[in-house]
Amino acid sequence: MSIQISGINKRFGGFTAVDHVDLSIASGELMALLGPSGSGKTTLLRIIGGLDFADSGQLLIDGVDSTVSEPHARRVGFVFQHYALFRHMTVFENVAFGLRVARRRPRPAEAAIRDKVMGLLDLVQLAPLAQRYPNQLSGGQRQRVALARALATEPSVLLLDEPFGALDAKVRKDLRRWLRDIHKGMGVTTVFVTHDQEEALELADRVTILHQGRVEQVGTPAEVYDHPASAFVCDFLGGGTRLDCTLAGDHADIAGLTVPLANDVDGRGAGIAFVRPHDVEILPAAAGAAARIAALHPVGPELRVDLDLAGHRLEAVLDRQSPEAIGLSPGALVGVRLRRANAYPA
Amino acid sequence: MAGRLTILPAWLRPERTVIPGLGLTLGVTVTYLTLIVLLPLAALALRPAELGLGGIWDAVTQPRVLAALRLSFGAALLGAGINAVFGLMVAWMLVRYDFPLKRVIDAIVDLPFALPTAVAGIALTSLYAPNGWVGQLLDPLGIKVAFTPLGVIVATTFIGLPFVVRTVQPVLEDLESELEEAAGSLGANRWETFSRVIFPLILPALLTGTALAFARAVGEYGSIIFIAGNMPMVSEIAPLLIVIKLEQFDYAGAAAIGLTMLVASFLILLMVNLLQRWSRRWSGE
Amino acid sequence: MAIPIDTADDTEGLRSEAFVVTMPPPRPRGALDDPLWVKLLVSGIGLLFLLLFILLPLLAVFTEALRRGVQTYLEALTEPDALAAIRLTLVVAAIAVPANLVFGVCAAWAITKHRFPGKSLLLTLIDLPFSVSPVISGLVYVLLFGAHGWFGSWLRDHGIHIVFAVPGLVLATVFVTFPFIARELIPLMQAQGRDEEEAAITLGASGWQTFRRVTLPNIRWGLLYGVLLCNARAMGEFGAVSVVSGHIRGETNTMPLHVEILYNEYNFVAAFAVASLLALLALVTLVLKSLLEWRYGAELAATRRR
Repeated sequence: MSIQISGINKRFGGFTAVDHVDLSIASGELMALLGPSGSGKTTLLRIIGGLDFADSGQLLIDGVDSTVSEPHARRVGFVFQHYALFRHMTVFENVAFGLRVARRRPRPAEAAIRDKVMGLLDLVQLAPLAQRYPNQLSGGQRQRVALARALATEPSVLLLDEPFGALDAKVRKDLRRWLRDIHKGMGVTTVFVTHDQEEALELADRVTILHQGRVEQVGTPAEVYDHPASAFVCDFLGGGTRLDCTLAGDHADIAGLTVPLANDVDGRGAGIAFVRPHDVEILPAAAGAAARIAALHPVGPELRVDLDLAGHRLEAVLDRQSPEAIGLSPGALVGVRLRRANAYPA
Repeated sequence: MAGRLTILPAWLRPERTVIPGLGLTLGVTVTYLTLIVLLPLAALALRPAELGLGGIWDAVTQPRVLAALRLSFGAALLGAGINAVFGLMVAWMLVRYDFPLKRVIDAIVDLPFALPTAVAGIALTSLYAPNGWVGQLLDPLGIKVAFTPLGVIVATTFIGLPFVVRTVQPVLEDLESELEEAAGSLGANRWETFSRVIFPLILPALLTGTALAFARAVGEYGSIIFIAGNMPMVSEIAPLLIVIKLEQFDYAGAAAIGLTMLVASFLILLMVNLLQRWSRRWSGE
Repeated sequence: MAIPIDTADDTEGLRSEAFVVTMPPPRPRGALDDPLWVKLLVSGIGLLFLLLFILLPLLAVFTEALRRGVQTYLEALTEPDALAAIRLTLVVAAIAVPANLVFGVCAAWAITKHRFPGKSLLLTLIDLPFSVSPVISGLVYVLLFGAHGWFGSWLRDHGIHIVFAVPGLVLATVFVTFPFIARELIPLMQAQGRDEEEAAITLGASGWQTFRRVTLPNIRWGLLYGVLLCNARAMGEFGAVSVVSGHIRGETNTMPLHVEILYNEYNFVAAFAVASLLALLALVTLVLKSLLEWRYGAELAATRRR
């Protein structure tokens, strides 16, 4: 089911949570809404799910105007950030809830409900825990119950609010891969909210980056990473070191170096450039611009190098085993070349 | 719902949420509140108006009324003060120490909440009367409690106790032991730790509890009238005077005293609210 | 379609979250313990204070009631006026408590599950009866419905009796017990948030289904707690009903009022006998309340921390 959002606006008191957002999500797509807290991503998700209502604008789900319709009429499944499991019901009853309160009559028979729920619990690998209560489950298990519960009513759109936010790093990684597989298997249009750029880039077909209620950029993970549309997007996606620069067409002058630009910039004059650590090349002392090594931090397989380039702090990353890395020592003079940068008018 | 309420200006319109039932439940709430509480209180506010401002002033400044108000407020204040000291000790004991029957003793602190005031009144009277269990110990010392203003203070102390204990107790429970360990590691002794670290943190709760005890005691009737003796100008409390005026069908006079007390209660309530806001200034809520 | 996932999470989670719900051990205070003499002094004063102001009055009620033996005690309780007072007290509570229950649930639902302007004003107004003297709570109804009240002559013309009759007792009782249940439920439902209700609604439940199957099970103990306190106050209220009752024996006398009449007639044994029933009610209320707090402390926590 496709989702069409046009000109959606939402204010809470004096605070504009969603500011004239246009967005279209294709049928079967896995879309991430990415942004810092307060960027309006959760509000937008709740508007799609029918939990909040837009002040103005229009929402089409599968071509049907759903701007003001009740949530159950939209056939969406919603997974809450803190799962919102019914704490007085077993895992089984949680998943069965949507089937038991179904408005279309006749409601499914008990045997049908049983088959359906156990099938879903098999899918999320929790069948042996069907009679447990939510407080007897781990965070990851609760997350999977919440997902099974949302899928029980066979939604045409699946919405997840910070699905992995409350989990520790290891569980998060496993569940991420697993959600990706479930999405592939069922083909249901899925939108999830996250503030973790790595999560969005790894999991989603396309990423929507939100900032102060507005859409900054929409694109595939590769597009938004390689061609960030604004300084905000670049910074938020791990843009690297932020430096003042002078824009000059297809290149920029940074601390006396001429650096080719990865993005297209209109205009000339003062600007802001972002240089990712991987784009900082360390050369022998005579080559490139002269820089001093301020500090060395071995982190796992990498060597992070803090450089002082004419008063500017720069960060570079090398393979610890590489020939360039071996001879370095703090205080030493080296040469530096910047392969590319993203730059924006100041 | 949105359709029905669009006649309202935007800032007055309730936010549309998916959880239904606002119209019904808010309707029931406001109707019930209006009929049971607001309308009757409006009568209290408007009834003394028949007397005119001068009349209200005369009604309230009669010597007998003034004496009654002074006793009600004075005894309530003293009772609340006694509770502030001993209630803090009880709360400290219940939070910090272990002793047999602790749960029972903890539960019984709420007795003044649960015990009907008339029962408390006759029980306190029988205890503190000259021939009662406590009264006969005090009588040889020349201390008379029952049927004197001292009896009123005993009653206001009784009914106010749980307010102080139950307000201070949770705050004491929530104090992190790290705080005291930090104070100790910085060289403070136990008394310095208490007076400079713990006490300032529980002070707002202590003041709130004391103010609540005071507010409750000002209007108290049942537990006081038996032990007070009810001598006009000496041990007659303001609520009793309202009852007497009503029995004489002096509705406006009764309402004037009632209104005075109500206004005083509101001022206390306002103070409690400000205290609570003040007490939250460190918690970041 | 079962997709393999790393099941290490399953056992991990069970160990770390599910099985560590037992009570934490009492934290050792060690060097921070008060010195023994402070402990003894504070405990001594605290216990003496509780003994003097709480335990002794309670003991006095039962001692005075049984002073002339069990026979006299039982006779005092089975005397017709006493029975009428007991019956009336039960009737008044049986009307006032359910009325405030419905109101409390409605108010808590509107306030905690919705956003609307004027909410904090509403909260303040709900608390109002707590800060009003019981005598004033009765007085306001006399001002409205008494012989010289606003509606007094109209009521007399139509033969309706409110003041000095049962309706007045019910109204005054409803007024003083008005906030009890709402005050228990509002912080509890506030702490529980709206997520579960929203989840139920996205799954297709109606408003009533959501309340009955999701909200109600979550608040049942808080509800019971509120009903318990509301009932204790409703049955024991004295000042407010005293003003509107008219003290007609056998007709408008509730138990607390009957205690007063007997006491003023110097019939102390009978007065304390009826009082002992009310004291028993208070004790039962405290026991049930403590049981609820111990057993369902976590679910009531929001309520207790007012």
